[in-house]
Amino acid sequence: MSDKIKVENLSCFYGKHRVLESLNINVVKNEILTIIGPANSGKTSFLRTLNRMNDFNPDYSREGAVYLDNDNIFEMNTEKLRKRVGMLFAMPIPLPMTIYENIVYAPKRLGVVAGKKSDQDAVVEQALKDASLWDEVKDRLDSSAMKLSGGQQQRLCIARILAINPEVILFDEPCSGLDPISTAKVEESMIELKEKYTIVLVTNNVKQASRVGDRTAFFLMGKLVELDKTGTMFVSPKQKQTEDYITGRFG
Amino acid sequence: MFRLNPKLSQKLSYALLFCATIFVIIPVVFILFIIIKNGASAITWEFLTSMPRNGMRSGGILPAILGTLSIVSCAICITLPIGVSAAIYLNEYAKDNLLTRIIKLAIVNLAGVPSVVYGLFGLGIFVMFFKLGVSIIAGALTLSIMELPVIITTARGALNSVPYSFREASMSLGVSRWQTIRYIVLPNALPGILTGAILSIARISGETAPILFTAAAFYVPHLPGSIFDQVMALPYHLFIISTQIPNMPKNIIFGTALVLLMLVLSMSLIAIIARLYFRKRRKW
Amino acid sequence: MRKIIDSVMETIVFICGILSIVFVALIFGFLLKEGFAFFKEFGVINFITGRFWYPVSNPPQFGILPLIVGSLLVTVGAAVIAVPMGVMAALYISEIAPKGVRDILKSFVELMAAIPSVVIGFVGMVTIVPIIRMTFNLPTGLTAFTGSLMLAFMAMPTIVTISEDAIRSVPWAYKEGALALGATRWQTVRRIVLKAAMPGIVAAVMLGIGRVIGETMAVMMITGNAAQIPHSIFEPVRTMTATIAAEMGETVRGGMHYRALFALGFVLFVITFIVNFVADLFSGKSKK
Repeated sequence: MSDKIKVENLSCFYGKHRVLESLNINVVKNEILTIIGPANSGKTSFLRTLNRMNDFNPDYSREGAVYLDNDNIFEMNTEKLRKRVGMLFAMPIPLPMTIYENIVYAPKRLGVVAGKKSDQDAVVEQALKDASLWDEVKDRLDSSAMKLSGGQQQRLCIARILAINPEVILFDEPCSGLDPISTAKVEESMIELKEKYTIVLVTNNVKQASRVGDRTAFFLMGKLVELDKTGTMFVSPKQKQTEDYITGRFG
Repeated sequence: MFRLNPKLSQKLSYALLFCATIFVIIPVVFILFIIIKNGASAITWEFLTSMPRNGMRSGGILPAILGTLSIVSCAICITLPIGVSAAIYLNEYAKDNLLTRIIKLAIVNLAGVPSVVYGLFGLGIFVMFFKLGVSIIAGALTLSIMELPVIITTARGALNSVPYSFREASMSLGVSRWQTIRYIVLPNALPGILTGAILSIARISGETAPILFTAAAFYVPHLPGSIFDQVMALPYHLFIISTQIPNMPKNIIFGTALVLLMLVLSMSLIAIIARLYFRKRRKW
Repeated sequence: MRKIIDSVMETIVFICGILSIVFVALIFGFLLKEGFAFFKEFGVINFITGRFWYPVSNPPQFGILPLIVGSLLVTVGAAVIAVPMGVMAALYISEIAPKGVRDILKSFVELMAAIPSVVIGFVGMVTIVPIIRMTFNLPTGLTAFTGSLMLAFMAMPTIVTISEDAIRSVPWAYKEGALALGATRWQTVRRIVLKAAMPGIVAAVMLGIGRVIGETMAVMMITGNAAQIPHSIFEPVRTMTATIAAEMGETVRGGMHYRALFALGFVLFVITFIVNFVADLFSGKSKK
């Protein structure tokens, strides 16, 4: 098994405040790596560093390196990086346009799909099918994406990422605003997606980590406390802090 | 000391505040009433579409209407793209540094420069220095600089009302910053920008002082032919016929004022209604 | 390709962004260029403290003291009327009026702001001016007081709109605290809201005053345009703005009189610059 992402000595700061400290971690190809930890443990900062969404924050700075395959992402063009590493946010953010336009928006702008209508139709259908949304929306592709339910919106956002055919997908607490049934559907699609993609999932929900993660990393106060196969970690955590957290004693 | 009971004091204060509010809005009603009452009879098709005659004491105001329309349309075509671009820079690109603060201060001060000083400036730079002469283009350039801070401010408001998350979602897909602005931010800010533009058109249609020495003429016997022509303009025409020409028939003055007022107020009303409409229809 | 478009567009919007600075500098430069030639010949002190403005007599006199006094008188008069009225109306609209009424009132205030100054001047000429003349039994109704009254109407929309924003941005929690302690709504508004919104209101007042100082057409039409130092507000005065507007058309381009008017414009520019700067300081404070 090969590493898709390799993080070497990564530290991140907001102003002078250090949110991640000398992090070393790897993400294996076609696995779901889940990251758990209490609030302010640095897990979202870590995730947003992987596709450099933090670059927009003027206070943000970092040290160390992150390799995607063998390229240092900090030396890459951010647009190329983000095409390869997609991100799903905590709240679903459909763009204010139709369902159809939401999907073809990025492929058109990136020049991934030709202007031909039939090509675009194919991209839309495939992406929606992969995100298991096709059956629910195929009859109303031209209605506003804002009218979908929360769970449908989140799957639309997944479809939108799939349409540009990334290599890695980052999930930032994607189910925090969803009900259990919608959550189950999103989790289902995640498990299907790892056939083709590499997934990093940040979650506040320890049970979710145990359900979908191949490996799990536990972050605390900006440090990686433990990283292991999910099954192993949940049965016999090596660190006391990990045990306390996953058994719900704090956090 | 004598103290009112709080309930009564509240009632009295409310009444006072209400009177003050009435005092603020009564002039609008009053001005509209006087001008419509006295001016409506002058408005005929002929008044709107013919040249002034008899030392402007009879005939129509067509050249003044066309003059104002041409100056204003030129001005908005210049100021809108520059203003919106500047707003895009400030809202989407500018970092919080000294340069940005200076730009913002400059905008505040441009907004505060008296209109007659813009007139002086336009005379100095466009009429004299660039030798454009007293012309539509010199007046339009002067007005466009005057209106720039207003356009920038309203456009920034419109850009700002587009949620930041849309930009983030777009850019997280690898779409570039400019593409995000072009395909996500601008389309959604467009109603606000256009509303601001309409209000600006209304405002500059009524401006007199900036075009006094840069574009407006007392009387021009023909219609404007090119942007280098000197023209008559509605507000200046109203000023002339109400102060400079003896024995001017009252109904022509009121009629001119009514046409100007309708031009300005109808556009302001359109803008106000459009804003309410778009606010209700907003998708997020 | 995408990269090229991106950087080209960024450059374009950046240039448009700094154009504002360029324009302020250009205005300053052009006024100063013409004004400086005048100052060198006539002297700044003579200009500002001279009591006589006789630009076409021989030798000409370019003392702008009467014009400054005229502007000041009209402005102070307008502020005395517009500030309390405007702030009270803003309080009413933001804190007391029911929602439906509020939108209507705000639309009226906006319409008032949209009426061209030359129309206001004209209506003032045919209505207020004769009323003032008869009420106070004056030789003419074209006085500083008439000007103040009309300018107050023109400043009020600015004051109302910006004060209203400031009042509405007072956090709800402030009011809730006072109301919970049993204060009436009015006591809350007067003691808590007004105090918290004060920087914003001061900014609104400064901007309103800025508008009054710079106002030209209406002032020229109703203040009588007599370049003399008045003894009371019921005498005609002439403001700096009206002087420029009225006389520039008759000057010889590049002549002494022409330059004197640019110098006057420069003084006006500096005054409004300071007023707006102060307003900006306060509005910055109110945002924090």
